[in-house]
Amino acid sequence: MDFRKSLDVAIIGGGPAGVSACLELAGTQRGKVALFESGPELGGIPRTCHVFFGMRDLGRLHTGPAYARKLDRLARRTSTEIHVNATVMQIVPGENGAPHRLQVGSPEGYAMYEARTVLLATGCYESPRDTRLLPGLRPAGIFTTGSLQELVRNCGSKPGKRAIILGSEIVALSCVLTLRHAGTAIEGLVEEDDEVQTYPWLARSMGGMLGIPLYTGTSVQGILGTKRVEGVRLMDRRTQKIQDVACDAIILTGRFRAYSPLIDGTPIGYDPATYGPAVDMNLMTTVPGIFAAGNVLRGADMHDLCALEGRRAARGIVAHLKGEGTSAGRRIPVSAEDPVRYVVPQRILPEETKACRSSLFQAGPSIQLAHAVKQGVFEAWSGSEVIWRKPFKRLPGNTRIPLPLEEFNWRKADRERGVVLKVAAS
Amino acid sequence: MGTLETEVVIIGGGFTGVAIARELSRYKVDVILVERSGELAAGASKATLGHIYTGLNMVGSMILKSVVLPPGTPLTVENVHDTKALVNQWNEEGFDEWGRILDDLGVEHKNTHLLIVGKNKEHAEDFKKYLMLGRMAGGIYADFEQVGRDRIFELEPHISRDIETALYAKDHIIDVFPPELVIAIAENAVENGTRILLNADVTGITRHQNSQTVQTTNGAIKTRFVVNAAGGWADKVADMGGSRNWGLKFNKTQLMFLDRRLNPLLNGAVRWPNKPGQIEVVERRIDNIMVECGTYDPTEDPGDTGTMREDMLKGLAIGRTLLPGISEKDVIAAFAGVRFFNTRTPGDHIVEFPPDNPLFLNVIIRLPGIIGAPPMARYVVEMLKKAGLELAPNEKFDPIRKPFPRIRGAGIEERQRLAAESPAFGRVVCRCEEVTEGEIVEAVRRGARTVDGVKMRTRASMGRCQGNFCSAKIAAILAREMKQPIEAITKKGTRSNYAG
Repeated sequence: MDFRKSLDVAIIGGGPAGVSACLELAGTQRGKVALFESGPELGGIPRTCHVFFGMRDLGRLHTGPAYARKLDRLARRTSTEIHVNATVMQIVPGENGAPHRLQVGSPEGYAMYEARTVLLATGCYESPRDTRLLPGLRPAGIFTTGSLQELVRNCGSKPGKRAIILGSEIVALSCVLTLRHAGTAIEGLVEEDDEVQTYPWLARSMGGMLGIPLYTGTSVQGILGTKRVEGVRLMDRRTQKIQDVACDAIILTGRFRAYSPLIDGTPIGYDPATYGPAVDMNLMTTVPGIFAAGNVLRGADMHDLCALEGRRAARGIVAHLKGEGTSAGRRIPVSAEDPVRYVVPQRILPEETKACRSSLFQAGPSIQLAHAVKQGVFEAWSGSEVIWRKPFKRLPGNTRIPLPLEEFNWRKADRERGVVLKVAAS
Repeated sequence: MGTLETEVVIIGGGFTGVAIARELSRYKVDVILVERSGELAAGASKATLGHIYTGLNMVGSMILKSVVLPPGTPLTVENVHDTKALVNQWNEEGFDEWGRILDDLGVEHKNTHLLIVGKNKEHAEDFKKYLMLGRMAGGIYADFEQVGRDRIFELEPHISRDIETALYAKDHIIDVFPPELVIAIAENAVENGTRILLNADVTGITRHQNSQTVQTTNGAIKTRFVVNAAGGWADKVADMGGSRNWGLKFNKTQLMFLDRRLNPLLNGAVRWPNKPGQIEVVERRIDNIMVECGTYDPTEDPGDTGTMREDMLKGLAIGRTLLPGISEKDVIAAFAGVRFFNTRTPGDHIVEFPPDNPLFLNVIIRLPGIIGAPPMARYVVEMLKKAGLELAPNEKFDPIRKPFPRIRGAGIEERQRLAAESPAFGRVVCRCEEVTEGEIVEAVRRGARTVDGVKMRTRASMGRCQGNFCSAKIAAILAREMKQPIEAITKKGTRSNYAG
């Protein structure tokens, strides 16, 4: 096709990870870079959020919209071609070093691009109602934080008069603020687990400071209402007591999954634990030249860590374009065992683990737990060998936990069996 | 609201109602179809398997009847299959018409196979009955064969390795998205002159000398004939039009759609042998794998479409016995389908005028309602004609529905052509299902008035995120196109407001 345009780097997604990669590339590389964002402006989810942003990547605090505007401004100062309202419809990975092909749709039409490298930064989404197996009728008035924020911030409307929030991950706080802003009363926050799924200080502020009734250890038995939500039926899991709480809107929060429709049906390796692509220490997927960063790797993480991760992926891309980067050795697959929900990266070459140490201020290797564990031992197993072990006091659920891969005794790791991360409560 | 006037009012916008409307639009006759909900296909038509099928499945129905035969009754086709039943006549006749109709209507469809699979002696016994009944009945009923493991796993490489044998019917099923088909049939009827009134719940029927007035929540209609195609609500509507000696009974099952990522796991429909009161099938639909596994649970209420968590988990557990690679993590949508049967002849339809109202025709169609719909519609029109409805041919009737522009599945040239026509065809709203603003605007132009109406016409928000990214955008586009505030936009009609 003659309308194909050639790029060195194609960045898919204009949120913190994608834009930060573009900023990093602007400083280090002179190749041709294009960024494709399906929405009307850059900045990603922070555009519609009201918590604080930008500490770890931009070095000072911003409101969400201000942070997003700043990313937009910074990106537009670079030589990157910025395409907004441009949705990448398809990636066809090139074979044997051939460029990757992208089909992009925008109001200007549909065009094909060829790119030597691609960065997937398409973010994540919150599990919808049926994915959570939430039973009951199917009335109007059920939202996710994502669709709520779109409705409130971009459509100037509100979800209803009285809302119930399901889930207590950190995003629930963002949901609370959005509902307050919209003028919707909050009738309660429901968490299936016995404790709120975020940092304890945040849990306290959500419950106490904001005066929202907290229903922990509570499961949803049914959604009530045929046309519009009329309430939820809750069951206290300890006492088995059932009560109906009236509301006209339900906001589903958290339970994030990577949003990666572009890798479906491609050879790009997929991790069923994250719902996104599997990557190595350089954030490269199983297809050489195709990288991924940010929430497409694991569901929601803090935006600033996504931004830092975008920068890290950009450095991997530069190295790859120079013919350096990821070495060809066979990687050790790393996986997680319940309650460890996932581990990123999933494919390790031991000599690369020192390249990016994990800390609270770096977007390095990390895991997430499906629920909080009060006390126990964190272990990495390869076959029958324990190659790393660390006792801990309280690990939070649904929250990023840095994973010091560089501390593992990789010499004892068996490539065939891979490495499995386990958490044993004590 | 003034009173509308017409010659025929059809009550109910499901398969039965729209098929009759389209058939009537072949004639110069004034027809208004009324639907209680804000969209068509809101009842049983929405929550069906989406199969238009033929012989082997119908042999399955014979097997079900054979189970309840009195002891000692010989297993013959006569004892388990009433060739005079309308349902059987129409199912036989209807299947072959669908390929053509679906092409005329421009509705996406796919021919696929059915494998009834077995792994134990009990199944082997069942299969003997299928083969015997199939051969005895002949024709479409004999159009299947028994196949062994090699062939089974060639056809379906990912199904359970426990499966030893299967009955295989090639191209046995035409796979459609039922609400899309209902709407397409209705659209073609409208193109040929039918009027449709939504949000029009019938509240009463007043009989006059040679006419009747249908009162609805969206205005009154004076008409000569009324056709009651109200599905699960047909008993209540029938009471307004005359007397009846039948009732309705209902049962429900739960259905689940799985993430598209799993599509490579399945090519057609795979089920365990038919058992009374139970269904166990996994099926590759055009867009997703669908799981319908579980018991038929009786219910009193045709609107009882609530889902149960235990049933979802149970359904998936059964589904895994057929297709081990699926899990509850893969569910993107779950819903319940309520099916109805008349209590007088549960095994057949009822199409008749009540003794006390010669202008009121009850059309009570049991499942499967889709396959036999074309002959059913002709039969109903014939009955109306016999009852005195004048039917001169409508020379302007055009069976071809204006094609619906779609980005998904289109090649890049077609996509470029559409985007050149309108930039809105380049603005992707639903990324999961690749639906553009252009398609949503077109859906509104064709009559979509609700978020669900847009979904059924375009599949926007039917993918893995279920509208997380796009539902508010869809509501905003509807509001803009309908020149109303977003708070006035509903999910599925009156009092189901999307926001506010």
